[in-house]
Amino acid sequence: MTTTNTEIVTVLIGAGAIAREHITALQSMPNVTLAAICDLSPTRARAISERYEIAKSYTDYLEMLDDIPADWAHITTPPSSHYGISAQCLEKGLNVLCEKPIVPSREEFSELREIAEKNQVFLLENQNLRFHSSVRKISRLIETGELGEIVDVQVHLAQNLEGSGSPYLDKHVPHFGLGLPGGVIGDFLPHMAYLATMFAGAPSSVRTIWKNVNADSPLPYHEFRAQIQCQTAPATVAFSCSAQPAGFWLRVFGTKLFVEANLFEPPRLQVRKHRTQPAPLPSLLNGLSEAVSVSASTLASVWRKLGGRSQYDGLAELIDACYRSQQKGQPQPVSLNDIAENINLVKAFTDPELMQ
Amino acid sequence: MRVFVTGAGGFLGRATVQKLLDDGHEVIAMVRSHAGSPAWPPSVEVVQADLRVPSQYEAALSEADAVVHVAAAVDGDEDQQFNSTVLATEKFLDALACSSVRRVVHISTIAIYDWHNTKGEMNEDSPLSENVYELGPYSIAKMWQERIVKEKAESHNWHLTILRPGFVWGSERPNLAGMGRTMGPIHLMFGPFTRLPLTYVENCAHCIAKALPREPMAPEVFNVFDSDSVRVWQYCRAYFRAQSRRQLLVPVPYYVGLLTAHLAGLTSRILFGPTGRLPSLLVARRYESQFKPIRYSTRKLREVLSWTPPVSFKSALAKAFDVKVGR
Repeated sequence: MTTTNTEIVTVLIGAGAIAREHITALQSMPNVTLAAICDLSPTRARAISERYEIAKSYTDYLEMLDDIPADWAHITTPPSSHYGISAQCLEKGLNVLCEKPIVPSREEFSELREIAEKNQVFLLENQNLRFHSSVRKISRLIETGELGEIVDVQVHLAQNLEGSGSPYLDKHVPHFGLGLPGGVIGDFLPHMAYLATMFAGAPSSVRTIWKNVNADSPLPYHEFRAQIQCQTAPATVAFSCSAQPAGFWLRVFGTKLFVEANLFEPPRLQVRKHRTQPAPLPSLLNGLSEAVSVSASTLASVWRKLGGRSQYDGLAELIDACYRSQQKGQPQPVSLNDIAENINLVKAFTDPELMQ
Repeated sequence: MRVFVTGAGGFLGRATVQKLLDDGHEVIAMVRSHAGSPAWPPSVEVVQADLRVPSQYEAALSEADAVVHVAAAVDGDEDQQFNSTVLATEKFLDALACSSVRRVVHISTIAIYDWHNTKGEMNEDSPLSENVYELGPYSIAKMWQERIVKEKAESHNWHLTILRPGFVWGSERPNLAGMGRTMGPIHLMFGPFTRLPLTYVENCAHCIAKALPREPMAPEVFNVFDSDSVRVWQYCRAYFRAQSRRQLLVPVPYYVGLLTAHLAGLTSRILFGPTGRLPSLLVARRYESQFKPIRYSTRKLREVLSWTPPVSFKSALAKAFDVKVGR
């Protein structure tokens, strides 16, 4: 981590599961002080504060913002509260990094954007997978020309949302994801949308399939597919509740290479080259190369886990890029236009007419 | 007495409801789901509710004279267990504070003690862990749960009894962490002669019922063990016989395991610094909390509560495993 030489003071609003990822990332950074945390539950605020040795805890974020002269606010509350909290933080002159989905509508985002621009502060949605180690490796293969021209992009997320103890099935306290367009799948769509467009280019048209495979389930949908016509190449985005094992697959097909990453298992990346040797050498060489690559990346993945590094890859790098850019007066690492376009694409995925 | 029991559909909750009924109490049994609840007699008022949603149970709570708070999560990651155990209790305590109930029996655990600094014998005066975060999700959640129960009880002058059971076991939950670890055909017993802090589920429920009529002016604590006479090898032998499993029981001296854990911890710190993570068996503090060879005192249970377990280990084995064991 490089960050900056100037001390940066951060506060965190919302102390649930994802907040732990932000705290771990922030505490690994030099010159960054996580000064306070806020949660509606006084016990959770106290517990997280004690657990991670954060100096102060609050149950009222406005009181916290008045008490702490912070540079940044990280918002890790459920999506329905993002707009109001973000607006307050931006109005008070804080830079904001908000969990995805930042807001459900283009109109709300335009309003937040206006406040951020008026106060000359950053406004970002957590798009950490842009900074995921495997995604950055793929980007480098593209930049160096090794991958050739991109001809196809596939983003496929397989996760059983209905397994034993699933929080999405809680009938007493419904999960916030159930209130999103597309249900719980909607919580994953922002990541899937920007991964597709960062390699395939700006979208021009979208076709979707949504399916409910279990009428007794509280989940409105279990399967989602989208075909996107993009500026550079076509892209396919898929979410499956049924496909197992769980994985978050990003596949980029180029004219010289095919790369595949499981984003749940960083730094796993498989590369298959176009080879010109006579058959069956290409198949043999690619097979051997893949075997070595899979073995090495599996060991690296275990090593990473033993080292206590989170599987939630890319968040520390995103925060670092945000803080550095803000301190140096550079543009934010994920532009407001990119965030707005991502909201538009997610909106297109969940267009009620297409969903029917 | 009209007793509101949380977690009544769970392993210990069901036995507690049955014992309270046997003792002539009226019971309001709160369950998260009707699925799996036993066929209680009609006199039991069953409330299907979630502790996090007080509106679902406030009316029933207002009719109670006492509360036995059993509900807690026993699996899940740190965040899941904290939500299910602590945040649910936080909401429940707020609702309880609005009711007329003043008698509370809270079921905690010995997992919150400082096992490293407990020498020789564990009793109610043993120190609590000052860094429970080393001990894992269950200990963290139960420590915070007990802490907020105690704080609320003190601020509202409730008559609070905290019971800290050891390994609660029975036919539905015969597998105990203190038994060791099974790896294929081999079962490793860490410290085969170590005494187990066992409490058979019916005995634990009996102890809860025994504590209920008390009205302590200040919070009181009892550890709940039937005795500490059963050794790891005895329980393992009975368990695997009952399971009809051919398992090779391999004894591992306690200090060999502890040394291995310390070496693993040292290696992890050298390679990764303070962020390194290891399986729980290789974390020295967690290893100690499961296998440390100490004695478990039942003195306070006998002298203050006048309680002795009604079901012997032999009888419990026969009931739980439907076999004659313990020879």
